[in-house]
Amino acid sequence: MQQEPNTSTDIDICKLEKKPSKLKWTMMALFPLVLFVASLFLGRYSVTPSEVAQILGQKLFHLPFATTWTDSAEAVVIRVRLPRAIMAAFVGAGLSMSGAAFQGMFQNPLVSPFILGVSAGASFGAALGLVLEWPAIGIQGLAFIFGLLAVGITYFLSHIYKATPILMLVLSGMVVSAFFQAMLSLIKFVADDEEKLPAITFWLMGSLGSIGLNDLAVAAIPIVLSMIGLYLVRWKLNVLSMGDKESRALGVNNERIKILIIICSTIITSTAVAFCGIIGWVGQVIPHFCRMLVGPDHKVLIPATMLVGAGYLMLIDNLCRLLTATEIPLGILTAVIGAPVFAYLLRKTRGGWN
Amino acid sequence: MTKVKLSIQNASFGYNENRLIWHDINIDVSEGSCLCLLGPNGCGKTTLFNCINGNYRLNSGDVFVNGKSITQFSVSQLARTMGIVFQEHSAPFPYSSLEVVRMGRTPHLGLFETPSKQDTLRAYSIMEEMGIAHLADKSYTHISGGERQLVLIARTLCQEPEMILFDEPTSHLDFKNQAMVLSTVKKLSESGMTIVMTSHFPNHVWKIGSDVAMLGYEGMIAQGPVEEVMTEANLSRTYGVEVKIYEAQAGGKTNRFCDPKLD
Amino acid sequence: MLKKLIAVLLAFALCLSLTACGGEGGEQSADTRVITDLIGRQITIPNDPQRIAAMTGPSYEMVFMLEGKGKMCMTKTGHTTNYPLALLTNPDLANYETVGANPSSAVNIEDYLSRNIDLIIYYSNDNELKKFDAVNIPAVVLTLNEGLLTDVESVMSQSVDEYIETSTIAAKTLAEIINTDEARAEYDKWYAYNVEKINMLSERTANLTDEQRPVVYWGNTWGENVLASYALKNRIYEINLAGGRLVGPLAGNGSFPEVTSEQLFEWDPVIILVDNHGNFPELVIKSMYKDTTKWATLSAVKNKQLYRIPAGVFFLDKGTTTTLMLVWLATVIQPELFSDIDVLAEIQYYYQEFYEYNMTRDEAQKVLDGWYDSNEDWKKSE
Repeated sequence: MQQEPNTSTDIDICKLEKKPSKLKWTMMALFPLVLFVASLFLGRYSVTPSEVAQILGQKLFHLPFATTWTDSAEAVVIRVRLPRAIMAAFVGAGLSMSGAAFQGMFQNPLVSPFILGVSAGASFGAALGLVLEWPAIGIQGLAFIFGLLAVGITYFLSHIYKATPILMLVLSGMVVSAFFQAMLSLIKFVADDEEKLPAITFWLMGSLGSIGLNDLAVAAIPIVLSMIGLYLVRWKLNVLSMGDKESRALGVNNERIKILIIICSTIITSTAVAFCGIIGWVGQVIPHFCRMLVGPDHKVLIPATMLVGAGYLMLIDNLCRLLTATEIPLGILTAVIGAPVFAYLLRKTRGGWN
Repeated sequence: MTKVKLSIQNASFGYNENRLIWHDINIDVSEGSCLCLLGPNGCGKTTLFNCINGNYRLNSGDVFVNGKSITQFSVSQLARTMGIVFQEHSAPFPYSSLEVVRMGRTPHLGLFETPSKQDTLRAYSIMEEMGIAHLADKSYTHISGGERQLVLIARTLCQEPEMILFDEPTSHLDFKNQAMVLSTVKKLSESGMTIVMTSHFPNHVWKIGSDVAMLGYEGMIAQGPVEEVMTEANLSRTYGVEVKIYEAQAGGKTNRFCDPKLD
Repeated sequence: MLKKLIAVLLAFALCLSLTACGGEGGEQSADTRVITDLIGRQITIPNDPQRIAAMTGPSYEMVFMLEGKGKMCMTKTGHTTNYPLALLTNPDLANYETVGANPSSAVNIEDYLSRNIDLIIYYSNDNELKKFDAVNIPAVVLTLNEGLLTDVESVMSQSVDEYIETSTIAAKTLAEIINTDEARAEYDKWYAYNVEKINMLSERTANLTDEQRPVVYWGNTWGENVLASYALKNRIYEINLAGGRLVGPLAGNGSFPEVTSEQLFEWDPVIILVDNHGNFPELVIKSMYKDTTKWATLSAVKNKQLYRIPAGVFFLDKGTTTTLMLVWLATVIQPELFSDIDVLAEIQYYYQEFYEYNMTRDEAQKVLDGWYDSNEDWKKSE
């Protein structure tokens, strides 16, 4: 059934494929770029724009600028704003991609990347670390490990006869989440009221404020690698979203792809939660929104969620640190902004099925 | 001597050891033929279908494609050889029909590959050949059931398989859509594609089938060429109800159809 | 093409993160020195801090006592309005910079930077201290989350001298930080006061037997229970000094474990102290007196032996005023033994000596009644 492509068919194909236009892609790429640059220039401590530019030029690109700025200015730009903005971009992109991947895998546009229990497990791990008074790195480590552990348990609970049906995954995820939530409550109960309980509460509300260059170096690698993993299998998500039976009929090794997606998503979300607390509503809202923008084809949806997610979280994080003298916890703003946006999208798309 | 494309040998299947749904099934499907699989609800027709396509594992016996056991095929190898058309259904996301058809190229793509422009063109040209090109940019979830079934057939053709299995392709479809789908299957068969089709409708067998296998509650009732096997006795035994076969002449051809006798 | 661009951006971002690891904070110079704070942090601080931010509860009061009021510029929200005596002794306080802060809250580091402080006294919270370190704001911790001694035996086996050392170390470190002659002189004076008073208490109460010591319960209103408690730790020594015997939950369950009402009835303390954590203690005391069903059978309630911890520039049980509080407490727990002590005069003396404030007897009484939050309507309600 070979057919020589002729030009008129070519043009038809492009239109029929409904690919997003170059303009759309440009807008989507500019969004995080503009926000990244803005994040470096904005802040409650005033650094003039030219100072910011010079600091960046000298420190990152080794341009020969004379040091006319204060140590504080340099510290703010390089050690406070830069790692924070980059981390926001990575986490925003990562959570959005995970959300999109899960929504495809679970054939449901309402799924969040936390559905398999990763946030419940990581919350428990972090609370445990806080109560044991481990140093920051211990708390992050425990959060990460328990996040992975929770998903591992979910997977093995739902694995039957060499297959992992979606329904089993969802139900097992619910069970495992409930279990770790209960354990979290137990920890809150034994934690004292003055220090540890508020510490747990604040940690869970999420913040990007403590991200320094060292944190970024550690967190960037697993997140970026996992994002690459999800990016590479984005086409397979289309097939997977048609159902196990059909994707197998189309030659997809379901189990392998599912495991890959689960591992990549879990690494991203576990790392994100370990360093930044619980950031909800990003993994659900951004894929939904992007589907409205570029359509359901994961080939374009996944990169779109990456760009829009990065920009979105940078935007929200800027609000968190600029609006008031104290930091607004990130999880609160993502919920306060995300939930109404999600409600609006639901109404607009009537559930996202059409 | 026509080549045997698909061969089921000594197959038996049961969800547990003691209760086998059926056993000692032997079917040979020769290249270019169209085998219809008939049987009442609950006889294990669907189970047999799933065993043929490798979804279920047989308790004993084996299924051979081109002489090679399907257990020796990798998932994508099997998909390049055997296409499966399921009953139409809705998708969770509003893919366009062209996007759905294009998914048929997946068995030919590597783990991290995405379809090229060539793949998209191929999908479109298949849709043109089937006469459904006008559906290309329509949302898969917005077209009729029959149109969806045709899109799924187009998708399977995109796989460039050596044989196609149809799972009750005309259930849930109205007259017109049934006719649309059946014509397409007939055309495929006439063009030389090996086809296995399960069906609820014995009448369709006369329209498109070359061979038939009738599965009843006690096992395989009869199998063989349509002219020999489609008898009142066999049909009645298969379905457990008295069936009468009628003939009608139209345009020089003898059309046969059957009808269960009501009490 | 666009995908390649994205990949390039990602790689670039990664490189950014790795190359931009700037150098660490400044080294010691002629204008700075290195000190060790109470949790062992080695901090480079200016020789002469002029703009100190005292964010933790008792820290404002400590700086103020050590003649540091001219060197402070910032404290936590609420501190500038809730303590009438603090405002009387330092009218400038009303103009200090403020920002909300508590042991777990997230620090908005750029905001702190924009206030131009050169030293901050902050909570012991690794995550937040890290932020100050990153921008080279010297952050010192002068409060301990856990007592140095953690079990009752070692607490009780402290000698008086040892106790005085541990209870004065925060002020000592702070005097070193402020680094002026006045601060050091004030510290010496205050230290001598502590030695005098603690020894006085100890001499009179050291040999009291258990029977001679009334049972004391120290509660707060932080938790679900009307009167949660502290784990015994250091308080047990202090109550012992004041001539009483402290009951309460032992270690575990953090600093504010819940105590069941049954347990309270079983202990049936003679005296109940209610401190300032949680709801207004005087309201709690009032409600317990009024309650005829639950609490009426407690001896302390029957005999009206519920006392709130006094409050002056800050709560008397925190910061530098602990010894003064113990003097008052001794007169409550062992009235005959300490009948010679005029508590109001002691309070007047303390505020005169250490806060340069000429306090009247009426004002001293206000301190006892809890001079906190200028809203005095609670006194009028019955």
